[in-house]
Amino acid sequence: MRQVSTDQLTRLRAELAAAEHATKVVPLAHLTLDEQSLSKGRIQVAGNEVKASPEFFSSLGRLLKLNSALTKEFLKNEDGKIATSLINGLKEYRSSHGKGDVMLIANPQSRELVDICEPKRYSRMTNESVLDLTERILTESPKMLIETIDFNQGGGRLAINLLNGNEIGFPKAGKDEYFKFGFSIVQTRKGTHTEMYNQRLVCSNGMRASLGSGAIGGNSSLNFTESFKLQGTGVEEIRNFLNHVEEMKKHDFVPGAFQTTLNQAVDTRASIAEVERALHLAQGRVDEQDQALRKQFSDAIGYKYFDGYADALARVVKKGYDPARLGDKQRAFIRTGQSVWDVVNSLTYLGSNNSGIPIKQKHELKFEAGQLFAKGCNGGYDLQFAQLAAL
Amino acid sequence: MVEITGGKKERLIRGWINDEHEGQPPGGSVKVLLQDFMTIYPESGVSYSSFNGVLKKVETEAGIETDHSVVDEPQVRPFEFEVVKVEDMEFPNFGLFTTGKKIDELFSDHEKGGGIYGGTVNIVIGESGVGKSTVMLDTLSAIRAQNPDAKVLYVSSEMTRNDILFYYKKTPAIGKVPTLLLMNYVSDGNLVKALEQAFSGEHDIILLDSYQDVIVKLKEVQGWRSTRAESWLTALMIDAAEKKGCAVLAIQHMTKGGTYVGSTYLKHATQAMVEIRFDISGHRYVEFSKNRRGGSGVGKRLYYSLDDNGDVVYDTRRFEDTESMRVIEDRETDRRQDLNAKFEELFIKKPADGHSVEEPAPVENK
Repeated sequence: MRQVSTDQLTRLRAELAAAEHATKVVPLAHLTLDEQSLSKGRIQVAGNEVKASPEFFSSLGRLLKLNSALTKEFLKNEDGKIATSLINGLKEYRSSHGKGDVMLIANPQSRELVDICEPKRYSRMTNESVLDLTERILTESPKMLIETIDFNQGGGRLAINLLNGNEIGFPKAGKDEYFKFGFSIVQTRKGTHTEMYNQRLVCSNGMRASLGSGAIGGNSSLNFTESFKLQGTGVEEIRNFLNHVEEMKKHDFVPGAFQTTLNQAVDTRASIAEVERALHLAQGRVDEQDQALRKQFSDAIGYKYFDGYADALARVVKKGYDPARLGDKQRAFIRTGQSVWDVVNSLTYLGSNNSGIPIKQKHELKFEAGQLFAKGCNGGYDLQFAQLAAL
Repeated sequence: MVEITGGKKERLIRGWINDEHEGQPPGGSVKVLLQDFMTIYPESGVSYSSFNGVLKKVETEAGIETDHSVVDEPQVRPFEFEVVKVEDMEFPNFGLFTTGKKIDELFSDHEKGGGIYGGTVNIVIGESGVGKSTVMLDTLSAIRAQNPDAKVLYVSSEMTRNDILFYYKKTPAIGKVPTLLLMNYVSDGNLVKALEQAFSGEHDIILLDSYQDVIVKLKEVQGWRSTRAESWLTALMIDAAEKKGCAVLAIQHMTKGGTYVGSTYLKHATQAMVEIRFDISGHRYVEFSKNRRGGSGVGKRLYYSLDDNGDVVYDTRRFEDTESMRVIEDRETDRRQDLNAKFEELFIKKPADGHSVEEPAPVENK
């Protein structure tokens, strides 16, 4: 398993401190735009000319409640005169209606302003303090380790991915399926928050494979984030943040929605539409130039990993229907012999292991697995509520 | 005694003669007598002529003639303030009393873990039901356990003998604390004497429960006005602390809005203000909002709960956790200041006169 070493962390600490965005609270009235501000990317702060990125102007537009489409259009057309008049007018209005101060955020490397917000909306802790908190968490949870640290200097985004040593099995997931759960401390430009994080360990055939970060296969868009935002940097806010970590620890960092969704995925039959989407995606990623071999690999994916699909089609034909003429909705109503969890497993297996079938862009299969899995806690699987039709 | 008759003002003057002069028409300058009267009833609106008239009337009723001529009126001496050197001053022996509990660190900054200093008046405020009496009685009980020679006294103005039995069952700590029940002295008119004796300097630590209730009783039993009752009781407590080295803990009520009630004089004359409150989650904590003997403990919350025996258990771990979080907070504040300085260094040029651009140079008066 990957782990960030103490030496790496020490080096990173210095790098993160150096890259920290500089901030300052100034009266909104101190910002001045001229006709060339948008085209030249610059504004005046208390009479000093300062470089400003396009993102800064977008944020300024949002702050002044300027229509975002209009801001984009101004930026695109570099329509300085009208934009400046409008922004300056709005600025004057906002200044006299309570929006007295604003927080300016600057990238010290590029020496330009990259963002602006109301000071009360800025609840980001510095990277160094976040690392202090991380060290405290690690001391209090000896089984925890830093698995990876993702850092985007330009965007100011930092994610410290912490993983708990405990391997968690779920009765319905299969006896060889284990998960490790943890959480990420995520730094955005204006805030600090936690997101759930997990790694799945597949132990079949004695093999152990990491499926990457995220709920399933690095899919951060899943609804298991159980995000918790730091509300400020005072003692009480820090305590609430650490209390939240303590609460997660009590549940071995397993998100509440995860087990429920897993049970749903195991208990729900996948529809023809769901299997077909997974099958076609996998078949489309076969990395073989030779047509004959390519077909053999595609067929193998069908009968080895998505066997429920062919069986379901055969059943449809036997009942007198033409599968080619079924619409999307009809496909979503017909069950296959595979559970949703089987389909997720097949996708993640093909996306992570050496199955003997040459596959390119494997991460897309893992991503798709995550999307399919997450349907259980979003809109629901195609047949998740099928039994209700019989009520 | 003088009969209480007449209009409102006359009745007030007649009552004053009974209270302050044992029912005998007083002699001496009418002007001075009126000044004495007005210190007690400053808002009575009694004029010199009406005061003089009532005095004459009372003398006639009593069949005596009193000499009101000004004899040997003291010469007004020029005011001189006294400059003192602390090393030449004499002080009572201020003891230090420890409970052996975490709250010691809040009571004072004494190098050996804090504790309550003698010679201090500490006001304890908190909303009803939060546990002001419980925490303070636990403190007294713990002091007795740590310092068997310490003379502690719990002065309860609200509880009767029967009440205290029920309170003892709930809070066994009170069983070990010598207690004065003021209710016993309300009916026989000895309330003032009982209080004077309690604060005479015989005890090292006195817990008064509660200041406000004693004021109410002084008003009702003695017929005193609020200002007189407050200034008398406050002076009694301050004297006990200043002159006799006593540590006084006085429980005070709060308004429904959660703020201190009582005289501003008391608030400023006390060494410490202890607040016992519920947080937004309903957990109880002790926090000093003022402490002249322990500035480092001010603003720090010490959470507590009650164990099965009714003893106060302080959440020491949480307190220490908070302190370590305060370190993180302080470092974070420093780092943010650095980032602010970095911003200024990168973008904001200081004008030649050295003033920051956000602090314009002062305009000179021409």
